[in-house]
Amino acid sequence: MGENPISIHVLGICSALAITTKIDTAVVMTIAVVAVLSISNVVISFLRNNIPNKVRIIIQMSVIASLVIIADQVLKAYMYDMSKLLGVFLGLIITNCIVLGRAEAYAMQNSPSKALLDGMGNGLGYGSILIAVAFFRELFGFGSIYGAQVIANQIYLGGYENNGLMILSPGAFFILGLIVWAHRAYTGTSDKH
Amino acid sequence: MRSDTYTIVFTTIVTVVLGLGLSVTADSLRERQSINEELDIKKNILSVLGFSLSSEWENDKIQSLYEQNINELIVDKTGSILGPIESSNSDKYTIYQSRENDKVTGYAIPIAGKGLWGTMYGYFAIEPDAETVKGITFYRHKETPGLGAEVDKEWFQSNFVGKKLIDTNGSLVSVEVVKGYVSSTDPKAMHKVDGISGATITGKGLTTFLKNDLQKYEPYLSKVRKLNQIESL
Amino acid sequence: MKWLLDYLLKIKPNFDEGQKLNWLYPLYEATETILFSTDAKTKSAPHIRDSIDIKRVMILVVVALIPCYVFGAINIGYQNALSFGLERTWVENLIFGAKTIIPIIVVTFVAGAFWEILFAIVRKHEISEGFLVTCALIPLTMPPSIPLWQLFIATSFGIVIGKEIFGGVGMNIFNPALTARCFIFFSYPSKISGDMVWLVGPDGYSGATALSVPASTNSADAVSLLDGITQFDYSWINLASGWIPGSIGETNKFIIFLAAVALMIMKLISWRVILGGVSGLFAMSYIGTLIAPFSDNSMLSIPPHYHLVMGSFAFGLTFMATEPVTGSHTDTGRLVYGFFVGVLTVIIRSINPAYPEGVMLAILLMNAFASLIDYFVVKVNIRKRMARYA
Repeated sequence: MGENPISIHVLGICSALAITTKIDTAVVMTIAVVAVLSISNVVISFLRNNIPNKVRIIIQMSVIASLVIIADQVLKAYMYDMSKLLGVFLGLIITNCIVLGRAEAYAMQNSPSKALLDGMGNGLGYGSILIAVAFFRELFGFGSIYGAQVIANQIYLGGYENNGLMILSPGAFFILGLIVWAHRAYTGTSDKH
Repeated sequence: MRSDTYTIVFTTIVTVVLGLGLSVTADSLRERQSINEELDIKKNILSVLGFSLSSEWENDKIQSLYEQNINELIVDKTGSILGPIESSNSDKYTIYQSRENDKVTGYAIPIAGKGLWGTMYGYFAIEPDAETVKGITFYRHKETPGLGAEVDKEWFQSNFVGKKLIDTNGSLVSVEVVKGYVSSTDPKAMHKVDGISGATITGKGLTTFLKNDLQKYEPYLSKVRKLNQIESL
Repeated sequence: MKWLLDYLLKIKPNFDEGQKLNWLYPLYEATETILFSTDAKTKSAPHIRDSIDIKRVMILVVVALIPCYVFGAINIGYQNALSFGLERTWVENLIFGAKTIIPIIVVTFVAGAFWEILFAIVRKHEISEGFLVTCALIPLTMPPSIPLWQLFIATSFGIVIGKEIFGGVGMNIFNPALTARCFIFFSYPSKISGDMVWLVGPDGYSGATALSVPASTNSADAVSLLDGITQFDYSWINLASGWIPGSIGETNKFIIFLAAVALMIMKLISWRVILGGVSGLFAMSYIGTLIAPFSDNSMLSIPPHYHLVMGSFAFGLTFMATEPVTGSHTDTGRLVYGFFVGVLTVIIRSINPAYPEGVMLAILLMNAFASLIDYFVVKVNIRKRMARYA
């Protein structure tokens, strides 16, 4: 956890804002990111000694882009409702700096098996934050956890209201900010300028 | 440093391999995807017409329910039925007729128009008398959570049920989303539903495009009403 | 008073470094300096170059808010009586209003004090009295019908996100009281978005606010629309004297005007921000009235002097925009900053279809731009001097 891509490097927060209104979308997104990240790391690690240095970023991008498109197509075919919810943000995994970052920083120097572990680790680290943010947003924004209503009807009748800010993108910003704050305060990390 | 030729050959090979992989996946999944899209539309039409499945919406159940009960009709400006044919002409509109045991149980029409932040898409269902509202649903919109997005909620949608589309003279008045609550003494209460507080623009937009869309189908619906009258005599 | 000072000095060693009660030092320090003057120097804005310190400034601002509270209470009672069709004296109205307001004030201060003390103890710094002003302002910006639990969350949000994460008083970018208000606005919008009146009345009782009347009708003259409303008296003089439903402290513009003058004379708030704000509002709404004949947006036809008394512009400009930390710090910058608060208020009111009132968003947006304005003012100044001495 010391090198979590979101809470330490604050990478890839674009999709973290968009798809974390509910836990189920965050879980599917996590699976997609883990899959794309591990496979792209492995593929690039296999090719690492053959990729010409001049065009390495382009090669990495095309591998990642192809994988993302395949993930998107598979989701459309087998989980249509979910792909409607994720919409354009699944495609935006391409622009997620974590994927390219790990390919460039790790897979280019390490063996496929290590790159696979690195991809899975980073993907899960990213996903754990997504799911944590989604947990709070769904709980306060909809009163449910993973689709199951946890805030009883009586509480609503007593005047409780769901928090609309949590469903809006700024809600993810605040939750994410608080998580980063708590994590950094706990680990004692801070930006050194 | 490797030679330029190597770079070009390597890039070409990678591109071709990836391209092949992509087209194979896309091609093999295309059929499933288009079925999904169709099923999604069918599911929306079935639900606005009041069909409900006790269990999950399973694909083949949706398919069979739809085939048994829904009749797709194409009508034109004058209200005559052109039969169930696909057409790109903008003067022709699709209407979904639901049937159970050879009796018409309702009509559904697609509705779409501007809300506050973007276009809202949905279906609007009418009882077989062609003047009473059977239901309304939205499947895509960008309204504000807690305000405009309340159009998805049961309380808002159920307000529409039972409202009348035409006045006593038989002309179309549609259903209006008012600001605040509909007062019970209002003589036009049959054509009005409670608004969503804080979402005036969404309500106004909905009122406008609902009326526009209904107007397109009015020639056909009025024919249905006339037929109904003749039958009841 | 001597005995109190003696007592405080006597117990002071208990809170020194290494003593058992050291962790409570912030509480001790706050008690001592709020009762007696201090010799500490300010380290960050707002800087006070006078014999008074931040505590006295804050207290004076709070005193200036008291008339708003009193009028607010009377008005709550009055609106309640009106909605039920009752006859009541102003004393009864005051008592009714006080019963509504006091829980709101208590909840705000409990929430504010809790976070302030918590952060002071964890971060081992002194308790800043800034939270007193923030907590005194928050209830005034709230509708009287606000659920107390929402208020508690909003106050916590304002203090923690609006202030503490930036490092406390003097470091914050956004006005914490407005941050709290903004949180409520976006979190629980169904009752707080400002197109329905707020008052303590019968269930289901509702009506349009002055600002939402012209917003909901197209192609009409705003003033004649307002005169046509019979449920409330939306004439200019009544809008200014505040016998209309609204947030607790913002309805009476005369009281706010007097408070503004008093605070300006004491140099506690900047007259430049006020002047800039009012001229911005006038300029933009005048432009609006020029465009109005060519548009079906009735909001544009609101004349400038109506804009001044409608909604919470007067309150926001006097007590929120003038806050010394989050506004601009240069004299020219303050004029520009205030001007744009006025301009943006009119733009958001007239053009944005979703939000009938724009003061809060205008001030928060300008908070974000305040230091940029300062930067350019300083740049221009440097260039002028270079030109002069080159």
